[in-house]
Amino acid sequence: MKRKWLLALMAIAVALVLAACGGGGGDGDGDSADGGGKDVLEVWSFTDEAEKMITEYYLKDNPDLPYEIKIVQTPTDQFEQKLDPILGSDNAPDVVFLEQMFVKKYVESGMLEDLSQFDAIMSNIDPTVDYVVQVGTNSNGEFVANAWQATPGAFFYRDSMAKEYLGLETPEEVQAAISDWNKFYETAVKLKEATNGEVYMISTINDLFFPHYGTRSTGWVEDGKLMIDESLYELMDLAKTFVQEGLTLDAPGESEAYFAGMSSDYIFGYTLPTWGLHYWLKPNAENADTGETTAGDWRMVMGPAPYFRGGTWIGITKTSDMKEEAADLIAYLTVNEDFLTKWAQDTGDFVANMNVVNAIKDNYSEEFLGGQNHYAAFAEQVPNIQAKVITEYDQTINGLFIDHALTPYSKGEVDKDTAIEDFKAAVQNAYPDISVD
Amino acid sequence: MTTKAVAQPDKGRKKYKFTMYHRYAYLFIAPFFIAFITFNLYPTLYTILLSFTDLKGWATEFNFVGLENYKNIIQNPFFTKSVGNTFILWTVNFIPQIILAFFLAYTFTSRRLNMRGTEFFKTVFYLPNIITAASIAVLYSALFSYPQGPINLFLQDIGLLEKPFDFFRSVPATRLIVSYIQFWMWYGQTTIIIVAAILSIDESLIEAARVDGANDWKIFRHITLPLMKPITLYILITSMIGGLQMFDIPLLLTNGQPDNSVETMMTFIYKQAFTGGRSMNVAATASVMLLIISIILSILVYRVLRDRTEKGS
Repeated sequence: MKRKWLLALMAIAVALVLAACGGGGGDGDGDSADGGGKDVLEVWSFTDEAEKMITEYYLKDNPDLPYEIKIVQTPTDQFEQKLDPILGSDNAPDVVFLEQMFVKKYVESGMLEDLSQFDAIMSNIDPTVDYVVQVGTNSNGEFVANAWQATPGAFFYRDSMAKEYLGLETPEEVQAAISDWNKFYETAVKLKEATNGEVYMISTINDLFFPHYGTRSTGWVEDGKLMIDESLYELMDLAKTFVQEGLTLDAPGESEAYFAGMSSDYIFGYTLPTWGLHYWLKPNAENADTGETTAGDWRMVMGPAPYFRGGTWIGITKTSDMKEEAADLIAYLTVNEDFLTKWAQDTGDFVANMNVVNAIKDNYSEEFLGGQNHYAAFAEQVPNIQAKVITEYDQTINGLFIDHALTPYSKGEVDKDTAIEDFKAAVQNAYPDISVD
Repeated sequence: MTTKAVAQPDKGRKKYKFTMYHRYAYLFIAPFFIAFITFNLYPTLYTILLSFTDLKGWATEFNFVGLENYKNIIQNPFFTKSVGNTFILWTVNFIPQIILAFFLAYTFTSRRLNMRGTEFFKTVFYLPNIITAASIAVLYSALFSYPQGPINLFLQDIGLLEKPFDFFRSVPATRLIVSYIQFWMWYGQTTIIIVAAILSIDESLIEAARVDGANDWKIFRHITLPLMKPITLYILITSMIGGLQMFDIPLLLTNGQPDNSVETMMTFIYKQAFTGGRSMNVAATASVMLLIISIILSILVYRVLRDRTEKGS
């Protein structure tokens, strides 16, 4: 008898193990109505802003939701690897947060639901910045992802250095002195001469990359062909000049040295977007060793070219069976003006709804920027942003361009033709179907 | 009579029960086979299948394309370079590693030196292996960073360098750093295996040699080393397979740069599968190539070392 029990127990154990294997992936997606529990709206995000916005705002304003919201946060560098294999299957999340570098990949994938069918979103889409909607629209004209923020970029510089070394008293004078790339270069040379090479105009050549990237006339790929825009050749030459003449510290982008420069006295300025001010510049302005801070000494100007960098779009997967609920969430996060006003006031984030921006932009005075109104300054640049240059290939090809063309050429390791050939070969290797000639 | 008649079938039932009892064994080993088939055998076979298809990007269905992928991959300069890189990185890390490990093992086990605190040193040497590769990559990229990394500042302070040296833009420097990290992470492990192997050698052989007047070195050379061949074979093969799969350090340190000089077979596979056009077919083909290379090399090493052992005995 005992043995029979044992056998039965083991059979049950094995069955449980197998069942757990088979069903493990299925938990937590929208259709888990079984067991009498609440439905679950699964949200995948790479940024902790998702959790903050949902728990501190959405759930407080909607306390009686008949379903749960489950937020899964994955680091940006693993986000796509985890999402790609299950997108299009029943295990896919209902709502996905997508970063600008890879948003187009999903917008063009055909796996996101058309948002224009949801009145909650469309009823107040008009005040949303055009480029944000364009990025969220795929080549078939379907609007599949919307964003709460716009991310115009700027050039942040040190006021004391501008006064001392360049004799430039106001942001307007500085803007005039760096209004195009020639003037930017000339000012960099002046700065070097005035300080005997102790102060660099910029920390890294990546600070030249993003404005050039944003002002291209074509995206990386058009009709299956790799396009290398004229402005990228100009960028390569400019970067080489900056490195060879010692006008940049030449630190790798986003490296320790790059961030250390923000609290030191040898970097004049940084090219950063809206969120760069709050997430990169402010936290790094204080020197960890000496406790000295550069806060209050920074000013912002547009710089040589208008551009944008980053941003987070939100979409609904086609496999979701809680699409209405998902649309309510997206509507709240991206077009609800009450929420966007609160969010902008609480975090200083630049939102994409121009009604909100216009209502609040004149009340800002950022102490970090010596009382400058950064919100109004960013608002002026939004209309200059172009969305058509953003393609689904950007994340990979940007990296390949910096690694194989821009960096080696600027450091004088290879000549221009070799750099371009290496870059083309790398693109061909990553995308065998793209024609590179 | 009646009792006997009852006893007879009872005996048969006992025998039957006993054979049933044997069958439990299958149940006990079943979990391994279930795990092996789902997580090992099936993915391997599926990978081999994918290497003959055109699966990539968002596609969920595939067509068979014959040997197309294999033709392409042999002509792909990025793949051939990654194979070369893998061997350079592995060789430069393995040769010093095995020499140092033998030296350390020899000192730890030497009767004459009779070192104290060997347990402490074994632990210390093993420590780098405990730290996750990701942390080590971050640590080293900070140490050697340009232009204000600690190593650069130190070398300038003591006057070895006049201006900062960009280690991660130099092909030999980057390769050396990657090889060094691999060496530094694994020599402790190798040392411990060799120490264990030396300690397992029959004491009487060594005593006999000592009675015959052999010194420490001669004992090591003529008794210990020959008896170590099986374990050396084991270290060589596991280290080689591990080396062929070198992945995290090169990827996290410089992402394969500069000039793809530390792009290994595994980083090539990873990038093909998860970045760019997400060409699963190319990644699968490269994986099969990696498998073939591993098998060939393992057989080669095994044959070479085994033949010598037979001649010696």
